[in-house]
Amino acid sequence: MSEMQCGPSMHLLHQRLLAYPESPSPRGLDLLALLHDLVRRLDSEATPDALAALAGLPLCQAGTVESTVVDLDEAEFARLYQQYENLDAAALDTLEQETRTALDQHGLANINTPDQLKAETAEPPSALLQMTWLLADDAFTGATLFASDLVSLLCSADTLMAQAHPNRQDEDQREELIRLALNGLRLKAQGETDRQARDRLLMVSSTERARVVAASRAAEERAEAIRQALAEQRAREAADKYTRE
Amino acid sequence: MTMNPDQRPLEVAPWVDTDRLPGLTPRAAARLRQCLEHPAAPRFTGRSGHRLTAQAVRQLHADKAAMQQPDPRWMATFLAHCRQQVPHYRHYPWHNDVSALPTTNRHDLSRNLTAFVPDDIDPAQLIAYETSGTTGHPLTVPSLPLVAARYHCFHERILSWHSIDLQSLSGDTGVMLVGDQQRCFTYASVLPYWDDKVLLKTNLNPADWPEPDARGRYIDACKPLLITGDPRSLSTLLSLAFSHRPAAILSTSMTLLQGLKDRLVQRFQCPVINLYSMNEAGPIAADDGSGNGLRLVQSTLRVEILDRQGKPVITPTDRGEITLTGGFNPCLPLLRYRTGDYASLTEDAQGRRYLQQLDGRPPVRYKTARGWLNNVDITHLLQPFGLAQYQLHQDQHGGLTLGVLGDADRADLERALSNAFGSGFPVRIGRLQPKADKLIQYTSHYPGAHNG
Repeated sequence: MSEMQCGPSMHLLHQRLLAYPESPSPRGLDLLALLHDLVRRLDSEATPDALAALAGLPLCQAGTVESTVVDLDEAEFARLYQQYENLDAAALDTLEQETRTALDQHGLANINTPDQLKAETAEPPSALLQMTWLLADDAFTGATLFASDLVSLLCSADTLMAQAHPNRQDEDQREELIRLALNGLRLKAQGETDRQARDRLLMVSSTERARVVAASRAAEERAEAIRQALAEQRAREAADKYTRE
Repeated sequence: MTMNPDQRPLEVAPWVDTDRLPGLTPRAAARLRQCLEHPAAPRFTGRSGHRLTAQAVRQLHADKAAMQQPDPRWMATFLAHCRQQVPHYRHYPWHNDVSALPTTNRHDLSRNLTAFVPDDIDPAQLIAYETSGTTGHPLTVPSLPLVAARYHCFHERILSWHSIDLQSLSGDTGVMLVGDQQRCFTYASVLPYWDDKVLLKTNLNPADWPEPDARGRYIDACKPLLITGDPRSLSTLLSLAFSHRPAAILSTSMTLLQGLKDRLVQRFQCPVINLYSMNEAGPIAADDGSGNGLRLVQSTLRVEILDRQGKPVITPTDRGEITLTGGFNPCLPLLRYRTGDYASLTEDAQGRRYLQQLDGRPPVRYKTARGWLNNVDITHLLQPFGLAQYQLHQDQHGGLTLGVLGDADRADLERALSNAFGSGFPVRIGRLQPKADKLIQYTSHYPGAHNG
């Protein structure tokens, strides 16, 4: 019997990741709400307990990162707006010019155009955000998924790959992200066998290879600890039971 | 590693042994000492204790209260736990319905037990029970002191079906387990969750006693409220002279035949309760006096009856393999565990569920001159003889060997079987060798015996 459930096709999932929206990604409570909705959409029986771990994600912390929703009272809003109005464009230009001159003196000026600077400093979205976008595809709604698996996958998303911010333009990184997501939900890509799905994941993901080795070692160590504990206990008597079986 | 007896540190007397008996009260200690120092007391070969901390005793009382109102969602919670915490189950095809998940059996447990122990169990807390069984797969069952004590909750429930309130019974000795073996691990202990009553595990083999008559004297002196044992030991109990009558007798380990049950009831004038219990799952079902069979006792243990292909039987009266999911031992969560025992499962108008036609083995049919007889027919045929235990085997040519334990008229037995089987099926009656704890009651090498 196949252990893994059949999921969407790899082609569809590659297309989905490539279509990641350029608009600003949600943060803080917005993201938390979005993740809750996502998990509930995929497992309608998700309990608050099962969702609880999501609130611990750094990106979901209220206040520590910028949120698109800001609560300001009227007076504070008026004060900030006035400050903005008072900004002197000429003074800012002067300040910028001074900086450029300093950079020139050290041979560092004009390496990048402002546009280039913007493109390179704008990091790709984190693995968590890309995975969230991926799982929001309608193709996942047909599968039987478990909130605990979803939450566990989302909570570990940023540590599953060597890159916390995978480059979705890189086909290998895209493939790795997709296969990690499928594996975390015990899914295999459409048309693949369990074996193929596992082999292909291990082929594209060095972190998964390391994780499998570590998990296997940990499992063996635990089995040995249980064997030893039981062997020691067998040598002693157990606790009272008043019927024989 | 097991130490040689002479390497062992000197042990304290059982009545001050707070390692095995944490929180031992003066009352419990006095009771224990009295039982151990009685002139008719047997030689106790071992030591044991409840090993329950005060916190565990409180937990046990909480468990008992919770048992009255089981969580209706227990199954979903149990399955989620299996999926997330149990290495062996983790790779199951969980997207399927539970009835499509693989089954396991004793062989699976025996081969790779550690994979069935959930990751959230601390190995340092484990205790172990060893069980030999009849399937050729010896097994070590991981458990906890609290789990062993939970048996008491289920025994309380079973006895309440017979209008016996365990907690209200007065007396110093709660339970006497009786065995009848060449060698047996025996001990005396106390039960903090049952009013500090004494628990005695004894072997009725005369070699363990100051003299054979001491056995009866000791029972009369200790007056155990409950006596538990397998049918063979209970049969031996009938041969002893004593006047004490327990509040109830629990029969475990093997099929309790009606003849022996009747004799026990007649002698002790108390409920004699057949209990179906196993190390892997604890008490599963017991006679509730209704005559409907053995009533399921655990509310968080799902029982399925599966056919040889692993599919649920079609009609409720069909016999099949008893298959368990759930239970109360967190160290060994059972998921579609095939017990190797066979029964049918029925439900009465009040929703109470009963195992019927319970036999420890797959159904066997016997070839007769007129066709086939199934093993249930044999049970009915031999019932009037009141045998303590028996085993019937048919060889590949049709010859029958009946091994019996107990005083039965062999000529009558031979006549009954010969009449049932007809000519061409020679019958031999022998004495059953009491070597195994459990025996396979019905066996056959006759072609087609297992195809019925």
